[in-house]
Amino acid sequence: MSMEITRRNFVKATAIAMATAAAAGSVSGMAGCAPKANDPIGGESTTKTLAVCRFCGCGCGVVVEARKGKIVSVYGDPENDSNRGLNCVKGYYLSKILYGEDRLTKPLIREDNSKKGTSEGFREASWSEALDLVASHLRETWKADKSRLAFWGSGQQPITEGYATAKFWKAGLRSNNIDPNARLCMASAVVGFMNVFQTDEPAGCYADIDHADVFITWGANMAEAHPMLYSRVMSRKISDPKIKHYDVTTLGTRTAATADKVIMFGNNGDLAITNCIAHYLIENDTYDHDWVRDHLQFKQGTENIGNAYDDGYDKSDVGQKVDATESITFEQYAERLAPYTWEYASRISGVPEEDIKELYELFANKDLKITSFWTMGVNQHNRGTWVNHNLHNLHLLSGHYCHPGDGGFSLTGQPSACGTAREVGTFSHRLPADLVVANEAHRRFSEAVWNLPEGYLEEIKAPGFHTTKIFRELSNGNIDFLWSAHNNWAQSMSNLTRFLGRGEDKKGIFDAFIVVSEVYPTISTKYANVVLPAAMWIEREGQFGNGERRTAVFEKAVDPPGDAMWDMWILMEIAKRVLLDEKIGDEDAFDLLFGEWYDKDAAEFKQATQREVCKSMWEEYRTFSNPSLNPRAAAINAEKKLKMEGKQLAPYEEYIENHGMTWPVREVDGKWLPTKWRFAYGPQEEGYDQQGIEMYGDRGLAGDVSFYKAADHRPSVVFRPWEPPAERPDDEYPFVFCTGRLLEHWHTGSMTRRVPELNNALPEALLDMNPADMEALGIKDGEMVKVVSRWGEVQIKASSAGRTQPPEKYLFAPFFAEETLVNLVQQEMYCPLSKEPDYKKTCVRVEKL
Amino acid sequence: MVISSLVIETAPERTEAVAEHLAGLGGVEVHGIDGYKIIITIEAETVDASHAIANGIVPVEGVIGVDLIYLNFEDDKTIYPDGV
Repeated sequence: MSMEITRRNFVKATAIAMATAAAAGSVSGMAGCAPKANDPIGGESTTKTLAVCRFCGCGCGVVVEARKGKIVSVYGDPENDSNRGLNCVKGYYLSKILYGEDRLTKPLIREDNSKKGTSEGFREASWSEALDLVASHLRETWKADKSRLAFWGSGQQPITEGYATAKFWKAGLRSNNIDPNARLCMASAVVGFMNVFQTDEPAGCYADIDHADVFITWGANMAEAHPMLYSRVMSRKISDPKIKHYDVTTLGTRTAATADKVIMFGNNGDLAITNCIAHYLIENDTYDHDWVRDHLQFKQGTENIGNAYDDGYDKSDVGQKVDATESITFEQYAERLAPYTWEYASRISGVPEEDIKELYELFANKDLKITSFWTMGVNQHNRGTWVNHNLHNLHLLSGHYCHPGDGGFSLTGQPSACGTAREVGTFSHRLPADLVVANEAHRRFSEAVWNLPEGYLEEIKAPGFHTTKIFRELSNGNIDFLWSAHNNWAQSMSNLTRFLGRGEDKKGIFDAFIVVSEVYPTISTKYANVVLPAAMWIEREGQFGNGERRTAVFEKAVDPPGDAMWDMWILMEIAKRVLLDEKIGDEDAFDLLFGEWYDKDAAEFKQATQREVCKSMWEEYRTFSNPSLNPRAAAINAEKKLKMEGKQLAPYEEYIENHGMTWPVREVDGKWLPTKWRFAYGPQEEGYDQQGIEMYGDRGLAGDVSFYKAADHRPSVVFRPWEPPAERPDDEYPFVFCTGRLLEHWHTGSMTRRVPELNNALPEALLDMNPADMEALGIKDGEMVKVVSRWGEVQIKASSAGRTQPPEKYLFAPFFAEETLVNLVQQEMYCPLSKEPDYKKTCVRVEKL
Repeated sequence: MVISSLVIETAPERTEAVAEHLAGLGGVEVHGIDGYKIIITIEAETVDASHAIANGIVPVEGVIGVDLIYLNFEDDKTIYPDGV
């Protein structure tokens, strides 16, 4: 038998054995039959490294095998508890995305600014020339007027890279003009969690799926956007026919198609439906009395908050009051809910009364375990924060929270939206680990961890520009320097007509100096003055934090192509130039901030490997959640009762050994143990929050639950009324237009569209229309139409046979296609509390061409 | 040859029918059934071709989940024209 046949037989036998073990649900069986590194047949000189999928927020673990510096196979990591060895069909392209023909491998400098907005006008450059140019522009802007620079990052930025970037921006430049694209996807969820619990991210974990009796998806197309989790939901349903799934949605999707009951609403009806259910929980005395007594406090907030149409909204009278709340009694809360009768909620939402009653009956039933999932339909909403509040309210009032299978779970859209954007805090108002710039104690604590003089961060106590503000000011000509990484703003931002300078008088994008770190050419690189070619995914070491609070490391498996470099190196080289001869106290600014890891004179990292760099930087980062590692920080944590251990992270190697762990991670008898169900008392070894509650919480309360991070240990049930969408259909713009993601393409398609087969599977963005609307307008399937809003227009092919099934007067299109720039028509309004844009209901008309 | 293995999750009443359908697809081998899950391998010249086959299983009646388990593509000449 030739070696080739032997090798093939071995590969196939491995494939079959792993799939057989996976089907049996045998994680240990899968791990046992996985190929071994350096096995003579299995892999001559094969290296095996751990990784996390590069695509969505599920955060599935994968194992990558490489030979001779080339990736040869990928399989689901059986020992990663998020996915237990399974991947979705996008897994076929995890490795192939590295090998697109047009990978950026050389720095590019724009020579001809008149060609901005096209891929022309660039020349290749050396790294030193490109870095000098970028740093000189950043330094010049920084010295002249710090309000005119900005960094736009991402929920796809690995944790340590995000940490270093935030440290450079906040402590090095003392600028808060840094925000991530996560602002576009889960900011409303963050503000909801912070307002209700005073700590971000879900209390539960993906294993809730294995315990739930009822699933409710709210504004979430899980079947396409979170396929592995949806697969787990389907498995749970098959295990017991009594388990039901309710899909609360605004259009027909693959998720709706497989739900047991579809509840279709419109007109911000989610706010009315949730208040209606809360109303009858109290009216019918079916709420959880023990939970109300032991756990909850009640509030109301500023109402009639209008919409963030104009650039001055945040500073307007109402804009400055949107976060304000006041305490009310339980009885007052009940009075506020009183108008939300079945009839009223039905009239507002368009949902039959019987269907709202059916949802109510679920929450009124203490014997059921209810898992709610929500995502962009809730978050990208002109009242996104309010809907988040109302969903928490339902679960809290009914006592359906914090136990396995029973709770509210906000899904994330990006692989490290939680780990980097939310936990590191790469937002304009944040510091690491849930700290905020506006809080004096938080600034003192950050100064302690960063070894800065006391008071050094006073300069950043006012939040900087949030995402929409950055692009508004860019278009207004008020930003001179913009650097973006791990995102594609020129396609994903709302109101691109304005932000790409295609409107009448907003041309700032052509004057600003724009730097784009990228792996492939995108529409954003067309607007760049300098393009910096970056290492991609497993071409360097990094870490992602997924939607269930799981931190996982992805190891470097292969080298980046050409001159592409690790983002961390790019950051260090720019930081050292910008901070040249700057002092913090008596010390060299760069050395104080980054000297532990980077030798600026030698232009190299001090540690021998990327593993060692990341591990060392992680040790500093995890001091935020392990203040005992730093006496100065520990003293502030104790005196100001910051409870920083609430997000406790483990030493770096633990994440590799354990294939990822969910925070808070606790050390028990020398062993680090994850917490799967926060705030629920029980053995730490089984994933309950024993240590957190013993450290900060109370025993003996309802459900043996303790919300120890919340003020007075009581989460806030805040009354949030129904208020209408920013735009409502009228004669001129009679359609509601919603954009989103579909299975094959990840976000703006900059990776997935380079894979011919994925592109063939979903080659173009279609405008999904209801057949009745097409008939009324005389539009045939496949005809090009023009979609026109108050903000802009776009041409797109209409279809009644697309992936979604919109109701009448409703349209859907995905945003992955650069040639069909659907966001040209999107309104730029955002939730006034979270500043997250509403991508789901711009009013438009459809014109036959 | 690019070799991948998958678990196809099905509605329990359709498992047999789906398995029969899959067995008839070029490049697909059914290796077993575990409850409502079908264990298959796909063999094709390229990752693209393998994905096309897998993606074609997604809309098959009775299929509720297509889980990729293992993928080896060292023989894909479109990725490595000179081999590994």
